[in-house]
Amino acid sequence: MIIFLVLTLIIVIISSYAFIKLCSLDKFFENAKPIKEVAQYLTDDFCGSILLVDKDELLKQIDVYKKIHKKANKKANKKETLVFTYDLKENEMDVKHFEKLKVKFVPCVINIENELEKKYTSYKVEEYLK
Amino acid sequence: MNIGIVSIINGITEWIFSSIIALFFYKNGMKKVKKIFSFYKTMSEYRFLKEGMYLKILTSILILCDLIIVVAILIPRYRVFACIHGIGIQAFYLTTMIANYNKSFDYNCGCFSINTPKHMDFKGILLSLLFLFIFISILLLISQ
Repeated sequence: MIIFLVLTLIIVIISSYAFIKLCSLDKFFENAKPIKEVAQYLTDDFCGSILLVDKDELLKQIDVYKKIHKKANKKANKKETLVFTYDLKENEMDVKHFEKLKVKFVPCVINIENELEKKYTSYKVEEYLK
Repeated sequence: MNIGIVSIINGITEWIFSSIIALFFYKNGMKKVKKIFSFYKTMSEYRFLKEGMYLKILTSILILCDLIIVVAILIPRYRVFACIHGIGIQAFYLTTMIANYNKSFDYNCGCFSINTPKHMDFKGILLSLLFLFIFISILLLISQ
């Protein structure tokens, strides 16, 4: 009986954890904006990081990208870290927005410094996984 | 003597079937916990509930159901409950599978071994039916 109660408790904990994890991942996914909206967020005084990733890739490996986002946020001294997604299968025009961010490769984390002149530095996401 | 042998064989078969169920449902349940977002998105693609709080709760309950079966089926006292519960779960998945027959699900990671295949084909339905049959068999073995 005690074993059953302990196992039931473990199951309840796992399912509660699953629900909380699901809510957190869904919030993260909902906060990711399509790249066509980049102009709205990239104001002249914007200073922080941008995580740029393929929408399908974000869906498939959302856990990994959430970790990358957390690390990027930490590295940017808790300045704002936005997530933008592109979908070249559905919208080929998305590639045009890459120029605004001076993207050389994808997926990437772009660090935007805004001192005298806007400075864009791109990092491979793998660097944030180390 | 013969009744005794039959009873032993029934008991062994019951344990073998229960272990198979526990093993598969444990593997599947833990995979669903790990890849919960993929499972949630697959559920939303089934279109019986819209994305939102209700679907999140249902997704968590379905994972909970898988794990309850794992525990309950290994305890002889709760095996009947596990089987009835399992039949209900399999009936639910079979209904959704038949309703979405021949469809592919983009958001599915293809890592769930039973009940939520990436492509809804006859093989997937047959596998779910097999598990339904195992649950019924255990129930029949217990009743003998």
